[in-house]
Formats: sequence, C-alpha cells, structure tokens
Amino acid sequence: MKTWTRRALLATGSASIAGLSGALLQRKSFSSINQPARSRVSLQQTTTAVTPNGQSDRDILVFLFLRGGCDGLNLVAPVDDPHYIDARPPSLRLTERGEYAGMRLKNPPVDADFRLHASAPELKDLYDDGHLALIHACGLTHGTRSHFEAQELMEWGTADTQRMKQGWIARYLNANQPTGLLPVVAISDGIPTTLRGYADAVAMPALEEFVTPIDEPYEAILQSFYTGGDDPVRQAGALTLSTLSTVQQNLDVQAEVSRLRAKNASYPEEEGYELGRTLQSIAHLIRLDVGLQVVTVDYGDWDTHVEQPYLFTELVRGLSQALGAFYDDLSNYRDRLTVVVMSEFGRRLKANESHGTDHGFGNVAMVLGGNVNGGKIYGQWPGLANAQLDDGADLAITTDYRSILSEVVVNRLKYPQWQTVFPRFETYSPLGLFT
Amino acid sequence: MNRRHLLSLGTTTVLGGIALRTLSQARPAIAASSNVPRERRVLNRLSFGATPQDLARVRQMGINAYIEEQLHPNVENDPDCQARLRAATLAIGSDDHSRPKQRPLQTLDWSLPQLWQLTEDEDDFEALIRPAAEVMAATWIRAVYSQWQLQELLVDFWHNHFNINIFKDEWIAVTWPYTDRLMRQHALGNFRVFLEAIAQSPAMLLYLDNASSKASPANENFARELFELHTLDSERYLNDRYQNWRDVPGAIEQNAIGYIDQDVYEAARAFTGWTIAAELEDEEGGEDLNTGEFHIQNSWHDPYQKRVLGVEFAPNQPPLADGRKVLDLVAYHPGTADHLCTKLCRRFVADDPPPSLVQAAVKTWLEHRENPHQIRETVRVIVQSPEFLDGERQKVKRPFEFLASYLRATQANFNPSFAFLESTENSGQMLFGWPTPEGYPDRAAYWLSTHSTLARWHSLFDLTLNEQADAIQFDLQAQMPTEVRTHRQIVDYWIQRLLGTALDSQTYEQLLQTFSQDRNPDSSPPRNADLKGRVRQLVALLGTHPDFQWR
Repeated sequence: MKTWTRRALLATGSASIAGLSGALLQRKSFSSINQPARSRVSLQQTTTAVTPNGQSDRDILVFLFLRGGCDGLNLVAPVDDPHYIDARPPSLRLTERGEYAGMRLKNPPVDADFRLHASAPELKDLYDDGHLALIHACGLTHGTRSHFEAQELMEWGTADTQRMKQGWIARYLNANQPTGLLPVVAISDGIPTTLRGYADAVAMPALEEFVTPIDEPYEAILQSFYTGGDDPVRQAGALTLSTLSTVQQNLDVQAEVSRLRAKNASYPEEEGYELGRTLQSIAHLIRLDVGLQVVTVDYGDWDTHVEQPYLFTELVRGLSQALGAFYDDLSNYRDRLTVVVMSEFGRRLKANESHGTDHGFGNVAMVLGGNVNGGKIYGQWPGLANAQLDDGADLAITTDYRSILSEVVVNRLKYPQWQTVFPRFETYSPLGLFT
Repeated sequence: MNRRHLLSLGTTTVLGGIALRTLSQARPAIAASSNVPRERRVLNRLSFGATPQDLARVRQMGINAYIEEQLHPNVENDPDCQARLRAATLAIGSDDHSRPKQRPLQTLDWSLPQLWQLTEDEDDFEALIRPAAEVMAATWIRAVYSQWQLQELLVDFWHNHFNINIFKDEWIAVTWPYTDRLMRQHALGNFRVFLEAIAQSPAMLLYLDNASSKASPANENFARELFELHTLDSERYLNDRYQNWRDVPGAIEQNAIGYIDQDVYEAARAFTGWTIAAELEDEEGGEDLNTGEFHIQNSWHDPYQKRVLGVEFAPNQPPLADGRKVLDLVAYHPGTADHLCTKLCRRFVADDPPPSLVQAAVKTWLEHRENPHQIRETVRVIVQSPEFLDGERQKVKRPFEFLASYLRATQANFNPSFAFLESTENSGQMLFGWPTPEGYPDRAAYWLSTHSTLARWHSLFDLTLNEQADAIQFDLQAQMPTEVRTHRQIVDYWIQRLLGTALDSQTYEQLLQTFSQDRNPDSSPPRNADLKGRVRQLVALLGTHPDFQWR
C-alpha cells in the first residue's frame, strides 16, 4: 500500500494554495484606486537619531521553540547503545554507518559513541568550533505528555500546573523595563506565552512587511480612531500604530533590507525557508540597533508520529541551515548573542508501527553564542536500559530546563534575581555553559 | 482643526510611542458599553455580522422568534445563497494566468468513493486539492450570504473543535467535501454520534495518524487528542498519577474523573485497525481496497484486554466494538460536557464565560445526551441567556469573521477566487489551515497582537481598494438612498451602516472634513467616479474603527 506521507504536498503544495510565504503586504495608496497597487513603498531616510541600545552589556536573547516535540533521540544519541539499537529500526535512529550514520561528537557525557544527525552539518561545525553546547536528558520534569500543556508550562517557566499569569521572559522584562525603540519582538502572528504579561511585546512578520496600511490624510484618522480609550482593541491598535511609526520614522527599512540581503548569507531556500527568513529579519533588527533585547521564534511541526525518517531529516536540515546562516550573518555580533533552542518534550525510545515515535520525556537542548562554552554535551546521561527510563518508557530527565534558562538569565542577561523569573525553581544550578 | 494639525497628530503619537506602551499596561477586563441597539448587538454575535435585511427581519419578528428559526436551519430554503453557490466558479488550469478558465464548484456533494477517484492520478495535484478549495470557497459564500447564519457559525465552531489541517496531506484535501458535510450534518445534532462520524472520517484518520496505527506499538496521536481536545480536555489530564490508575478518583468505581497516559495508550490500542480503504490489502484475498471509506483492518488490531478510565475491556473484542466502547466512555463523560459547553460559551459569549451559564449549558447537555438534537438544545440555552443577549464587546472578530462581516455590511457581490483564498493566509486565518489539532485560538489576546491587528487592517484595504475584480464588487453608491446627498449625510449613512452608533465628535469632525476635502460638509458632491472612490475610502476606513473589530 501507499505509505502515508505528505511528501507530495510538501513538494508541490508550496506552489499552490498554501504557498504564500513570499507574498508581501503592500501599502495601499488611496489615490491609486483602480490602478495596480504600488510595488512597495520606499521609506524616506530620516536623520532622527536612533535610540542606541543602552544596555549593551546584556546579550540579545533569541529563544527558539521547536514546537511539537522534537525527537532528541534521533538528533543526538549514543549509536552504540544496545538498548537504543533494539528500540528502533535504523531509519528512526542514528547509526554508526550506512544510510542513517550520524556525525560523531567530541566530549560526550559518558564513554559512548554520541552522534549528531547527518543533516545538521552546520550545527556540527558550530559544535566543533566551540560555539554550540548541547544539553541532553534535559526538559520539563512535570510528567505531562500533552503538547499544549507542556509548551505552556515551559513558557511560564514552571514545572507544575499551578496557573501563572506571566511567561518567564515577561517576568524578566517586567523586572528590568528595557528601553530602546523595539526591545522585544515575537516573529509570529500572536504573542507567545513566554511574553504573556509584558504589555509592550511586538509581534511582527518580516520587517519589510511591517508597513502602514494607508496614506495621509487617512492615516491621521486611523490614528484618531485609536487615540484614547482603554479597551483592549484600542490599546492593541495604539501599540500597532506607535510601533509602525517607530519603524518608519527611524529606519530606512527597505534600503537597509536590500543592502543587507545583498550580503548573500546562505539562508535556506527550501526546507527551513520560513525559519531562515525569520532569523534574517532578526539579524536586520540587530544590525539596525533598535535596542533589541529579546526575540522569540517558533520552528517546525516536530510531532512525527508517522513518516519520521523523511520529515525529521527535512526539519533538522532546515534548522541547521537556518541557524548556521544566521550565526554567519551576525559574525560581528556574536559576543552579544545567545540563542536557546528547546522543545516541549522528547519522544518515546521505542518506535511505533507507523514509522514514527510518540510523545516522550527527556530531550536535547542547545545553546549557541559567542560566550558559550561549546563543543560539549552537558548533563548527566541516565542511560537507556528499561530500569533507567522514565516510567520504563522514555529518556529520563537529569537536567531541569530551568537550569539552562536561569543560567542564561544570570550570566548573559545580567539579572541575578533568577528566583523572580523562575519563582518555583528550587536551586540555582548552573551547568557552566558560558565562558 | 486644520490639516496641519491633523498631520502633526501622527508625529505626536510617534514621539509618544514609549509613553503609550507604559499606559497600555493597565488593561480593564471589560470594555465600556456602547449605544448600539440590541438587535444589532445580538445579530453581530448570532451571525457573521448584521446586514440591513437581517436587522429589519429581527425588528419585525422579534429576537426570540429569530433565534428559534435559526436553531432549525433549512439550508435548502435559502434561494439567494443556493443561487450564488450554483453560480460560483474557481479557476482551473494554472498555466494560463492571463485568462484562467473558470469551472463551477462541483465536488461539494460528491460521495466519498467519487471523490476518492481523484486520487488515481497522484501527480495531478490541482485535481487533488480542488475539492478542498471548493469547500473553502463555498464556506466563504455561505458565511456572507446564508440566511442560516447560526448554522454557519456552528459549522465554523466544529471545524475548529475537530481541527484538521487540509495542507497536511492531499488525501485530506481530496476528501474534504465529505468531512465538511459531516460538520454540517451534525452541527446541531448529537455529540456521541458526531464524534464517531469524525473518528471514522478519512480526514481525521489521516490527520491524527490513526489510519496507520497497528499493533504494536500503536500510534497514540489520535487517542491522545481524542481525550485532550475532542472530549475530556487537558483540565482532566491527571498525569501526576501516571500509570497508577487506581489513584485517579473514581477509577475503581469505573467512574474516573480524569485520564492519565495509560488511558491514552490503552485507547490507542483499542483503535488499532481503524483505517481507510486506501490502496489497502484485502484480508479476504480480493483486490486491493481503494474507496477512501472507513475500513476495519482486523489483522492490525491489538486484541488483548484493555482498561480505559477504570473500565475493563474483555480480550478478543472486535476492533469496532473496542473503539466504540472508548467513544462511549469519553463522549458521555461529565468532563466532556463541561469542556464542550465551556467552549461553546466562549465562542458565543466571552473569552472567560460566566460559570453559571456554563453550568446551565452542562445540565442541558447531559440531560439530552441521547437526544439527536442535543447540541441544538444546549446552544438554545446559551443564546437565549441574558449573558448572551445583553453582552457586547466581549469577543474580538477573528479574521474570517472580520472580513465576512465587512462583506455583509457593505453588501458586496462576492465570488471567492483563488487569489482571494490565498490572501486569507496573510490576514491570519486561512480556513482549515491551522496546523495543530487545537484549532484557531478563540481568545482575544492572540488576535490583538500588533501583527494580527495590522494584518486585519491590511486585509480590509486590500479587499476594498485593490478590488479583485473577478472576486468582489462593491457598489456602494447605488446602496445610498437618494435623500443621502451631502458629504455629511454620506458620512452619517455609512457610520450607521457599519457601526450602528455615533463617533466621538472630534473624530467625526476630522473624518467629515477629510471626506469633504475641505469643502462645505453640507454641500452635495456630484455622484461620479471621484465620489465612488472617496466613498470606498470612507467605508474601508470605518471598517478599521475599533467598534467594527468586535462581534
């Protein structure tokens, strides 16, 4: 029978009704009704001084969430562990040789042959060069296997289900009140839970699409519609308009974007295209010096219950290419850059019968940056024998994900009060991830 | 206020950008009440937006009678919408962009085997996705023109409750008219019956991977979302009792109050063998089965004993019986009643609906659990409640509702084209395109980000000013009564049409002055092409007004 796959859709769908990623929002001119819309507005360069980033001793944090449950045991694993070999067919694990051979990693957590997925050569280079640290058997210690609950708990920065009003990044920001023109950006449709409770978080698509919808004199009326009043719709409109003005009055976005694009960084063209484009926008914002401090990004649908060999390979390829290009693109900013990559949980050690894996527990996380003590797999490796597994089924967790995040907050964001950010985290236990 | 002042206003706001942000931290829960008449407020939430015709009708027959009529939809009795569906076309042959050929929507009533025949040529991608595109187009037409608006709102609700992403798999796209008909057939029906129809639909079997689940290990994806999203809800996911089913309150009495991972695993085993006849080997030795219909593959089933929610399943039960037993347990669970009623109240009343209303709905839901019209009875309780009838400014329009309400308010002539359907991706809500199984968010916070706000504005100006001539025609001047002549009368007329209330005096004067182009606002402009363009600007602008963002 036909294998259950969405390969055909992925391959050809992008050209059809799903494939609009390249479409640009266009600024409409009322004077050009019944004429073709202008291709793109050219924003005038102004001489207004850009507010400099007054807190440049702090790193810019990029929090990259791999939603759906990335299979850490297919990304980084001890290929010579007999329990690993027994649990999965070769297509769902890393092997020593052959089609699914992984790339051997130095400094494993135990004396075993730990390898990285072969479609991540850029990550391998970053690891070898000491910029990328891996943390294994890490994650959310609460036992939920629900995507939505696990994501929410991690975004709150907690490990229990006692509801919280704010995300962990929001708590950090509210305690620190960042200045700057655009300190906090989510490259997404909505505001993720990590930023919930921080009122000034801006959600935007690619920078060059963040343009005003109409010209004067009508724009002034739109301004008055959203001036005054305190209901959520008016507040959202006011923040949108003030952000639009900030961007347009202070940045010659189009010129900047074209100039930077000419640099020709190798962002992915196929799988990972969206992520690459997002990271490229972040790179623009960083170089434009708008006081950016925190960015959140989502990538992928890692919920590989079926057809994992194909889907996972493509996802990893996209992740690796996009991160590699981003890091390349920002070669002058690495000392101020910390990228954290996490997923809500790992996947079951044993594969299912649909060439996939189901929801699991412990996982691998990554930290990338100029101040990272990279080239090492951090964390205690718990082993994969039945008795070593969480509930006899999943990779156990030996490192609470908040150990990594609190170390980032203290060491890179220069905020010693980690208890404010992670109120129910017992002890500060840094892994020594940073130089 | 002169023009120079208007222009400087924008700059002031720019410089005040930081101050605005600080202000925005104090956020009241409920917006101030407006003076919008009750009929309009009710229609804005009982439909995809008030139209002059519906307003007149409700005024004539009364709100209660209108609600009762809406609870008994007769979609055959809807001449305007039926005619528009018959006349609707979508382009075929994407090679020739200059003059694409149009073809009517023809797959909407095709049977599953009929639709499935389109899979024979697996390289003909256009044919494979055509049925899904036709459903998308028909859904837009119905949202704008159906007189059975409550039915359309509920169909949208159920499509999101049982969310399936058509872009995951072209086999989902090809069967989409069948899935959509299930949503329509059961929108006001019985939840238990509905649940089984969806669980056995090819689209859900493919989307949540049960189609490939076999012993052993089973694929857990469907079983997990069945508990978490379709029925009990993660509120009742008690995973701190992982594997200790006896610790779940009520479990020993076969009355577990919630579920744990073990329930998910065991339910997944119960559903092994629930698949679709898609190039499937016939276990009787005949030709491969290939109709696209639900099929039980006996050899894939895990036959051993199971325990779900504390209830024992005997070994060697047929796959159909095992799965149905799980569906009985979850569909009739009181937690499911609470979950579904909370979601329905959230859809119609408020992001955080009043618990008393949810309880009233739950009571009806449970009393009518065997009633073929269980959902109708429950929805009646909700939409006849004072919380619904007296509410306003509780629900922000999602992009689908926003654009549909604008097309309704402007009485546009609308036949969705591919370009239009594609543009809905930029506006943030392409129908049937939410990737993960929880469906489009139903809380304002998500839709009030700067990105979503801007996308809503853009979509409206795109639609109105960049008229997609083959898809949408606005004839706004023709709708203005002859006595509407002066600049002021035109502005007043369209404020009333779109918002149903007055603007604050300062904004009103500013708008009037801009619309009059500094002429005497009480003079009458000639009805010509210039006025046509200006009216269109005016109407699009009013669509961005804060009051038009609320249902």
